[in-house]
Formats: sequence, C-alpha cells, structure tokens
Amino acid sequence: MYHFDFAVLLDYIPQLLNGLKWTFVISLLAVIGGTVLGMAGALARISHNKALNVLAAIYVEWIRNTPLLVQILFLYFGIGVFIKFSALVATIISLSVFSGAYITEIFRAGIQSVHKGQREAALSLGMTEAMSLRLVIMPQAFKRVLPPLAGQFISLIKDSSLVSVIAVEELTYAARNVITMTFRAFEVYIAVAVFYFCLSFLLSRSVRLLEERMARSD
Amino acid sequence: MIKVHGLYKHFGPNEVLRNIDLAVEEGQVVVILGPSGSGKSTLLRCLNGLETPSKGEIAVDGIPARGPHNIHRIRQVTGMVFQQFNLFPHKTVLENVTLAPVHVRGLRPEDAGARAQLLLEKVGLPEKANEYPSKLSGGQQQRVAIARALAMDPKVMLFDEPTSALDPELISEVLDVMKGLARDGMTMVVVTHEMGFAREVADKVVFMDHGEIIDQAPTQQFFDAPAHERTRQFFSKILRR
Repeated sequence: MYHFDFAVLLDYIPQLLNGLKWTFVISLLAVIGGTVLGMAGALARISHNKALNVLAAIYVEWIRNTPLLVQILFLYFGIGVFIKFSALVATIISLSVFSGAYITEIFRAGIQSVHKGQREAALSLGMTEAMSLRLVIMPQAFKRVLPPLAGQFISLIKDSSLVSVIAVEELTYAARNVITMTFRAFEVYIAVAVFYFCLSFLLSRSVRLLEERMARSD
Repeated sequence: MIKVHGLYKHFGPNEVLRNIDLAVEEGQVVVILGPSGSGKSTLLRCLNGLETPSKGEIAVDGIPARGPHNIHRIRQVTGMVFQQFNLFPHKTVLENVTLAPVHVRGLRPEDAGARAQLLLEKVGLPEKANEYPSKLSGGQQQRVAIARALAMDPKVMLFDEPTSALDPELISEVLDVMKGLARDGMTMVVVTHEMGFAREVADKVVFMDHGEIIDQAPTQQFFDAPAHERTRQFFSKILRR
C-alpha cells in the first residue's frame, strides 16, 4: 500500500520554485521571440514579394510538420556540431522558432480578416501602405487574434517542459531531480502540474481582461 | 481639376471601362448615373488610384495618375467617401477625423482635434466626438466619413454611392451635408442613384452603361432633353419604379 506524503516536498519547494522561475523566464522570452518572428512571418506571407512569400510558407510548413522535440534536439545537438549554444539559448531559439510559425498563421489570418475597405479608406486619406497597416489594420487584427494568440502562448508554457531533455533547469527538469532524491514521483508531479496550471491560468485570465478592455469600441 | 482621356479598365477578360473621356472643372459638381455594373464605381476608384487603369490617361489637379509617388500625391488632394462608410471601428469619431491629419500631415493632435471639432459641427455631429462608430446610425457614420475626408483639405471630393447602404429615412441628412459642400464650392464627383440630388445639385451629369459614357451634358439639358435613346430608356425605368 502506497503511503502518500506531500510533506516530503516542503524541503524541495525552493528547488521547484527555481524551476518554475526558469519556466517563466523561458516562456516569456519565447513569447517575445515568437511574436516578433510571427509578425515578420505574417508580413512576409501577405507581401507581394514572391520570394518572401515562399520563404515564409516553407518556414511555417516545415516547423508545423515536424515534432518540437526533434527541433530542440536538432538545434542543440545537430546544429551544435557547428555552433555551440548553451542549452538555455538553444531552448529560447527553438521555442521562439516553433511558436513563431504558428503565430505567423494567426497574424496572417487576423490581418486578412480586416475588411479591405479599411485599407482603402486609409489609402484614400493619403496614408502609405505601412501607415495603413500600423494605424488601421494591425490594431483591429490584434483584437481579433488575441484569443488564438493566448492559446498559443499557453501551449508554449506547456511545451517548454520538453527542454528538460537538454538539461535546462526548468520546472520539469527540477521535478525529475527532486524525484531522484525523494522517490516521490506521484507527489512531485502533482505539485508540478499545479504549478503549470497556475502559470497558464494566470496568463489566460490576463488575456481575458485585455480582451474585455479592448471590447470598448464594439 | 480632373481630366480623363481614353481610359480603359479590364479585370481579366472582363472589360469594365471602355474609352472614357471626362473633364471636371474646379468647383463643378459632376454626378455619374447609370445602372449597376456600368462601371461608375470603377471609374471613380481609378481617379484616386484605388484601381489601376489598363490604358489611358488620368490627371487630377495637374498630377498625372502614374506611379506610386504621383498616386500618393493625388490622394493628398482628393477625399473619398465610400458606400460602406469604412470608418475605423477601433477609433473614436474624433480620432477617425484626426488620424490622417496627425500622421500624414504632421499636425499637432490639439490642432487637428480643434479642426476636427469644427468639421463635426459642419456635418451636424459635434456631440458625437467621443463615441465609437458602432454607436452611430448609418447616416451619422457617413457624415463622420465626410468630415474625415474633409479634414485633409481636399481639392476634390469623390463620393461612391454614399447613400446606397442607408435606410431611406437617413438618406436626406447625408445629402444635405453634400449639398452644403457643393454650395461652398467644393469640386465633387458623385456616383449615386439619387436623381433628385443630381437634378438639384449637379452642374453636369454623366450617364454610363456597359463601361462606356453614353451621354454627358449640363444637368438641365440632360434631364429635360436627353439626347440619347439609351438615356431615355434608363429614365423611363427609373421613373416607373
């Protein structure tokens, strides 16, 4: 009969919190990186430049149709043969590139969902294409992409657990360490799941608040 | 103010404009009439470069409509009002009117705001400045759209069926604003189905069908003594409705 003992964890809370901190930092940097890549990707996807267009399409398809775990291993060990990354840098790059592909499609769909009359009105007022995109199209698109974007960010937090395979000391890696010392796999993974849940839930709640604030003009 | 010569436009195999010649003088109000699909809107959209002509010459205020730089210059001197209003839904009424003056002209926001407030008074909506467009009726939205276009001090105003998307009881408030503009001497090109407006305000009427200008004449002559059989047929259909 298994004897549950969560009290054992108390000694290891600092270690788990340190893992949580790194999960947070990694996710935050990858969210920023992914958003920048996604924005660039979306602009390339909608541009009239054929080369940019194809390049962005290849990026999206290639990343979306290969497993993230393979991408992480390839970057760290494969590319690592030629260029040495620290595990942390490899993590942030691979998570950014991965989420960037999905965010590209989210932004592209959002931009294209804005009625073409909006662009025409902006141009007819003497705005350049860039101004019309920045002042008129993007703000409307951003509002619409918030829900799928939030979903993507939450996936990213959870997917970041995969980088434990390259020994980045984030939450999942910390959990495995604690288990090797305590042999309390059940209790540790429950605790870790709660940590992930809190982080993701906090994010989705704050996006929800942002959505409500932006709904003013509806 | 506007000169069009030998203008053709086709979308793929579809010829929508054929050999259009048109001149609009400064201060003139020109109304373009014609059945749906006759190319009226396409002609209007060619004037400020929203459509690119397949062949022919256009010049607005002496600027030839060729190349992105010139098109951009033409858009600085023309205002356009759309059938669907196309107000910016994420901006308040005031911000809709000040957005282009601030970002395109580089006006200080306070100056642009003061001027926008005057324009909103001119179109009869001073109290709506801080509302969002979604709170406004169609007629009010279209009047804001007119104020927004006027904020860039255009020399020509282009109206693309400005009342076609409006409930009947809201049409006159928009037409009244347009009549006021015409009285102030604004050069206007108006695509519309409003015969009464054409008769009352236009200096010249252009009648289009199947992508061609069938007839263009001073207003009184156009209505009272239509020179063309096709124009007479159009009248009889409209008047029978």
